[in-house]
Amino acid sequence: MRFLIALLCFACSLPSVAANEIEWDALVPQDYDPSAIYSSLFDEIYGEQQAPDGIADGDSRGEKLMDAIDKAWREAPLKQSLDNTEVRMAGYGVPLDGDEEYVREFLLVPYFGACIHTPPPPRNQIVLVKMAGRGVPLDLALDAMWLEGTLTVSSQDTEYGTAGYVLEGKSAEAFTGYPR
Amino acid sequence: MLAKVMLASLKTRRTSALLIVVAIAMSVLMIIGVDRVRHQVRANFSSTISGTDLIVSARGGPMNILLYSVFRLSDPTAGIRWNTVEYLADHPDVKWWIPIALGDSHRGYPVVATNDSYLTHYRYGRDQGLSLQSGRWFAGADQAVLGSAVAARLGYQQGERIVLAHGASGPAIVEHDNHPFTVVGILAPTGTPVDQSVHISLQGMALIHRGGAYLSGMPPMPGQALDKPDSVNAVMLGLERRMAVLSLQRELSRYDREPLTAIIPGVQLQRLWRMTAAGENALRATSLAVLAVALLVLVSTVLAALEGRRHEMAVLRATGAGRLAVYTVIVGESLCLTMLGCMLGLGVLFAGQWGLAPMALAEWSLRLPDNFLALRELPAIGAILAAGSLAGLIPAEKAFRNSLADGLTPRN
Amino acid sequence: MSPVLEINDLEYRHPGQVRSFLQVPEFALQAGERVLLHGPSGCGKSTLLSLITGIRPMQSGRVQVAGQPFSTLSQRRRDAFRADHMGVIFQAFNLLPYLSAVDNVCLAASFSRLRCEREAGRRKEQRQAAARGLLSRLGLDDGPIDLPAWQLSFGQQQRVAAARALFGKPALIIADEPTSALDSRSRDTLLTLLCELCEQSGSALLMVSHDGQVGHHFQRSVDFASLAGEGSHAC
Repeated sequence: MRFLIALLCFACSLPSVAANEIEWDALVPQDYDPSAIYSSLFDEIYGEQQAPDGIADGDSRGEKLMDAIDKAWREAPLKQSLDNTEVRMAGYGVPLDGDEEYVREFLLVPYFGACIHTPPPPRNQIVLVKMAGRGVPLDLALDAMWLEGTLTVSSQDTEYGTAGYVLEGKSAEAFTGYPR
Repeated sequence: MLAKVMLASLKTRRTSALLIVVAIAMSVLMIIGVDRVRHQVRANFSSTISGTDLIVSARGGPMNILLYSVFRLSDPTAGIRWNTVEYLADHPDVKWWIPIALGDSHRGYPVVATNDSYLTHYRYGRDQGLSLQSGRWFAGADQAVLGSAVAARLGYQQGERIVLAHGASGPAIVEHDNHPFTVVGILAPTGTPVDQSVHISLQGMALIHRGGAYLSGMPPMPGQALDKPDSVNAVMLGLERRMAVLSLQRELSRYDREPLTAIIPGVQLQRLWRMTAAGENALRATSLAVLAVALLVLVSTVLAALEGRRHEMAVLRATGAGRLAVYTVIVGESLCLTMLGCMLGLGVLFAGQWGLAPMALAEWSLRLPDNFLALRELPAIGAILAAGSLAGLIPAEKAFRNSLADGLTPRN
Repeated sequence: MSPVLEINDLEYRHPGQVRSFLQVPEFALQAGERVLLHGPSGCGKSTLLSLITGIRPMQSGRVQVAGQPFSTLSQRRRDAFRADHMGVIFQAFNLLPYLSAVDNVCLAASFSRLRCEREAGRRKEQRQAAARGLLSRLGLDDGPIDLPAWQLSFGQQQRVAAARALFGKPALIIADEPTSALDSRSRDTLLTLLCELCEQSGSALLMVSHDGQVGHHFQRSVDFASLAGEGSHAC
């Protein structure tokens, strides 16, 4: 009996599974090279001789290029090995659902302003976060934050499922910089 | 016994006590009242829309788009052509879509032209859908469905015939009196701008803006699609994959057939709160200043009264009251006055809420709180009571020191 | 039997003054003794009483009350001691005007459990009954004693003050000119009653007055000037 209690105490004292702290490049598979994709799309649309700075503004081929890049970014590959892992990562939030005090569901992106002017990040640099409980307080949700939770990866575009990274968020706190 | 002493003593200084109580009540009214209104307005606004991933409109400011498409508080500047709406409807990323056309009003209430998607897909609050409290959704070009507030305030029932005016608000000068509409349904209350709107079909709106002539010379048959409406003001979208929201937004901003802007309602709402936060903080600071003034009044009044209470203190001291007892009497008094002030302030606030509630709901679609005191307000009240008690410490110490100096017989 | 009050080398000067205002080399009061301290106004009699009762902090010297080294106690202990063992009567403004006479008398008991138990029991009714009994022995009956105290005549108020001081049979009663504002007949009546009740409860009485004519009520009369000695510069 005493032995069992001792064993139980020992088991309880073991640290719980630690969340793996990851940075955004960890979400990208090793062999994915976005700049190479960009170059090849550029060459395809403009021809191999064209230098990038020689293009006039409003060139219709520019729109074609943007469309092609958008399509490529949407199909960016996901890293299956991250499926069902506990992670801790930092990012900026794009609120989708919530109330006047808390945000329940949001997209996590690596840089601020990803939503408006600059091209949106590729699929493997966006995480859809669903918070457990009430959600993240409003002030925090609009700034940079650390998130901890379970990351899942689905690679199929099904009628009901989402393809991409989904994080079931357990906790969030303010991000002030990466620890050195 | 000390409580008896404290209360009886306070009664002899009724007038100044009453003034202090009123001053504290006013500051409590401001502090709690401002916080409640702020909380309620935010709750009301935030609950207006949920589950919508994008709102697409003619190119314009994102905040403006939010204000007119969801809150009907601003005016749209241009429309989107119907073939753009068809493009969105057929887009692979889009799961459902609700078109919205504005521009008419009925006796001050905005008219929203839309289709059946509105009833099925519009969500508010915590994912709540719309439901009808009576009748049914419109099915023909001359049928209208009213929001609950419109029906209540204008006293309309099913079967009522109404005429729409051109223009988003204000008294009607140009009316579409050749095309009266019949009320076929009334929506259940939602506490959102839906309650203030008159809903008609897009065909209905197309009809009244075609100049009046029924094209075939006869009234339209129910269910008969007359013409496609030529433009709408906004389209609300629900996406197949939420993750696509950013790329679709970007794509639409580059749509080549028409200048468009797509907004993410969640983001815009949070921006709205950030903008109002500055104003709210200013109000809060003002309320705290009022409290500080009330407490200063408390301290100075009690201090001034001490002069006349020297004999009272001498008697207490002679009969064996120590520092603690003197403090209890004086701080107890301050606490008592602060408590009465809090109760009076909360009471007046409660009465105000109760009295103004019907008007607030009807006029501004604002649901006022109906509680006397909310759990989250307890810390604030606690802090006010603590501040009131602490304010009594200064006069208490002064009274004790006086008694030491006076000794047995105060000289005045 | 040790004296109920003993003073040695007491010296007091007003804050900011260099010369001492009051000096009492030696004074003793026995248990149950009634002593009159007489002298003209302004000599420091009230100051002395405020030092003896512990309301004013001592500067130098020793005071022992009921065998306790009173002067070395902290302010808090002195206040508690006063509540337990002393009664005080002023010249005027003795009562809390908004409380009734009965409540004023019970005030003494609310600061000292010991006092309460000596006179009556712990319960409120016992306290109130004892207060009424004491008041009636001083010639005050039901009726006036339930009114707020400001409605009583001055003579009645002084009697209530005496009742409060006597409540709980304290070891020492200090009276600071209690009869100076009364006419001679009221004065004599009050003093007779006071002395009688002090005798019954075994309380010592130290009264200060500028009126020399009341000496016959007391066992000993002390001239304040002689008590103070040459060191005092007040008179």
